[in-house]
Formats: sequence, structure tokens, C-alpha cells
Amino acid sequence: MQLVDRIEKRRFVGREFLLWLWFESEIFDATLATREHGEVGLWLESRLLLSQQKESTRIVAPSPGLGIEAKAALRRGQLPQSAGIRIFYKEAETRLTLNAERLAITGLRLATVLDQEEEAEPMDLVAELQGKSRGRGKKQSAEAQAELEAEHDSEVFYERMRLTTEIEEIIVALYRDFLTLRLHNVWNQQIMPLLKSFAAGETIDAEAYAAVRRKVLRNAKQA
Amino acid sequence: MSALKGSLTYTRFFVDIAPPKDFRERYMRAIRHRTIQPLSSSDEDMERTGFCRIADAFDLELNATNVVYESFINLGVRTDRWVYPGPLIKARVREAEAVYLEKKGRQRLSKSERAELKQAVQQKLKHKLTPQIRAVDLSWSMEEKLVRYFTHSEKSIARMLELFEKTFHIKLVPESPYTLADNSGILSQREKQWEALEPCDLREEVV
Repeated sequence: MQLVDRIEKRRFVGREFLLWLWFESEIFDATLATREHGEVGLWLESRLLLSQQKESTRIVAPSPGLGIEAKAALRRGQLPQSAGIRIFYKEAETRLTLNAERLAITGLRLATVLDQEEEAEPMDLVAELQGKSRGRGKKQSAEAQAELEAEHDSEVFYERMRLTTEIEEIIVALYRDFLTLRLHNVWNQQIMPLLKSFAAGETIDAEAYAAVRRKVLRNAKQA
Repeated sequence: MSALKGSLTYTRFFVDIAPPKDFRERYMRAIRHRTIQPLSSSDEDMERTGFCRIADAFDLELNATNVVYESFINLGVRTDRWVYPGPLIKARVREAEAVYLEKKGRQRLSKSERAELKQAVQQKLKHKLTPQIRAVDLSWSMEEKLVRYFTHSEKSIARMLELFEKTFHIKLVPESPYTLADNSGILSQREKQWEALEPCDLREEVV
């Protein structure tokens, strides 16, 4: 099979991943966990788009997954297409929108520090008002300024990439856990009935699910 | 569209080969060769894509200092395109048609004559307009074997893929549920289960 066919035929797995994130976030009170990261705060927020062929349901609300509309859409056969997600990890909050079929990220708002505009130092302002430079020729100081700006740009870039990678690693670790469950026979036997109960708005036995999840993931790790 | 400011919207691509040891020299040569030559009114091309500096569409002085950030290659993918405002083109073509018909003493134009006139009008307009310039940032993390391209636009992605392949002779693999699963190694022992997957159906059963 061609790569393009392999990609296209399994796009639905991304929607199921987003459904599973929603499910876990709701039954575990927005506290998910991966082996690599430990506990990670993760919840759906702002918007949730579900669809199946031409039918779609768009929900805009602070907690879009909690409303009855969202579950009703699931019961009509729709699955999440994209959702706003907030991740709380290492004391920092990050927001993003995840496009399920492409696993693509939109509007990733990182908790960066270096790219925040800093106020000019008072000394610089006073010197500027007095028309003074700091002891160097104008050309030299312009070059030094350009160098400083380039250095600052690269620092900003590294910080953004470090935080981006951190968020991506969380998503990839969760996706790996999801796939381990999805490709195990426990999915059809035990998890699907729970997802149906979830869609029906029924109470889920979170501890029982957590035990199944733990067992499958532990065995997979040992294998 | 930018990697250095604001919120990030991007598409990831996997690179399945490691860069050569002399990547800095080799890739910089290739990048310089593919730096955009800005479109001018004398060019026949309607569109052109090439590299510029990351976050600065007008800086075309590319060197290892502003492209190679430790294990990252950072670039802008700039596309110059002639875009003619529809109503302006229509009006100018109508004028040109009228002049042409009067000169020839005819009532109608053939299809090919009309196309030629349109082309001549467009060529003339090039001297009065400037091409549309768009740039999208690209960051290739060699350690992670990943390219992040800061847009979801399919047209822009197609242009970038072509440019990337021509420059580095590397075919990028787009991220998707399948490619991420394959890339993270989970499919190596579960290929059969993956092939057998059927979509979940949470519809209420109708009695």
C-alpha cells in the first residue's frame, strides 16, 4: 500500500485519540499521566468541533465537552474533529487547538518569558534624551546593537522550541499510550462499553478503567 | 506564519535520514542556490518560491550565522506572485479589445487573440504593480529529525515540499495518525492490529 493510502485510511485514529483525551480528562478530573511526564493537567476548553461526513456540531463554551450537546453528537455517530486544549505542566499553562485527523497544532500559546517586551532601562532613556551614546561611535554601537538583537532572537527561538518540544512530547506520549490501548483487545471488550456509557452521560467507574489502563500499559512496557 | 512571535500554528514533517557531517557547508551551498530571486516586471514567471531569512522576507543575505542555529536550520520560504485585481484587469482588457477591434476594423475577437491581449495587458500592468510577497517560517530540527512549517495552508505546504526536495534531496513525510504511530515505533509489533482497525461507533443502537 502507498504511504498516501496508509495515511488517508487511518485518519479516523486521530479523532479517536481526541475522543480518548476528552474521555480521560473528564473521568480523571483533568489529570492525565504518562510514564515519562508523571501527572499532566489537560482539559478541553473554548471550542469543540465534532463531525461525521456532512453533519457537524460546533460547541463554543468554557468547557465544551461537558455540555449535553457534545455527548448527543457522539451518540449521533460524530467524533471530535478539533478541540481547544489547555495543558498544565511544570507550573506553566499552554493553550492550543488540535486538529485530530492531521494531529496538527494551531494557535499554540506558550508560556514564554524571553519574548515579552521589556521596558527600556532608565539609564538608556536618560542617555538617549541627552543625546549620549555609551562611549562608542554610532556605527560601532549600531553593530553591537544588531549583534545583541541577533543573540536575543536566537535565545527567544531556543526558548520557544524547548517549550514547543515539551508540549509535543506530552502529546506523543499520550498518543503512544492511547495506541497501546487501542490496538489491544481490551479496547473492544472493556473500553468501548465505557465510551458508550460516557457518550450516554452515565457515570463511569474511573478506578476500574484506571486499573485496566495501568495493566495494559505496564505489560506493554515489559514486552 | 512566524516561529519567533505570537502563537504558533504549524505542520510537522518527519525526516528519515540523518544530515551529513559536513551539513553546514553542503546545505548552506544548496540554500544559497535556492535563495529567492525576487520577481521583477521583466520576468516571465508569474510566481516564484525560494528561501529568505527566518522572520524577515526581505533579508536574502543567507549565511551560516543567520540560518544554522546549533542543530536547527531556520529559514523563511518566500513566494513572490503577480496578483492582478480582477476589476482592473477586466477594465484594461476591455479597453485594449476596443482599440484592437477598431484598428482591425472588426466586430469580434478570436479566443487566441483575446488570450494574447490579456497577456499583453498583464505584462503592461507588471510595470505598475508590485508582486505579492508572502513568507512562511521553516525550522528543521536535525536532532529531532523534524521539520516544522508554520502554516496549515495546503498550497504553501506543496510549494515548500517541492523547494525542500529540490534543495536537500530529501522527501518529507507529513505527520498524521499513521506516520506518528509508525515513527514512534509502536507499529513494529502491532502491524496486524493496526491493519484491522475499524472506526469506533458510539451511535445508539436502534431497537
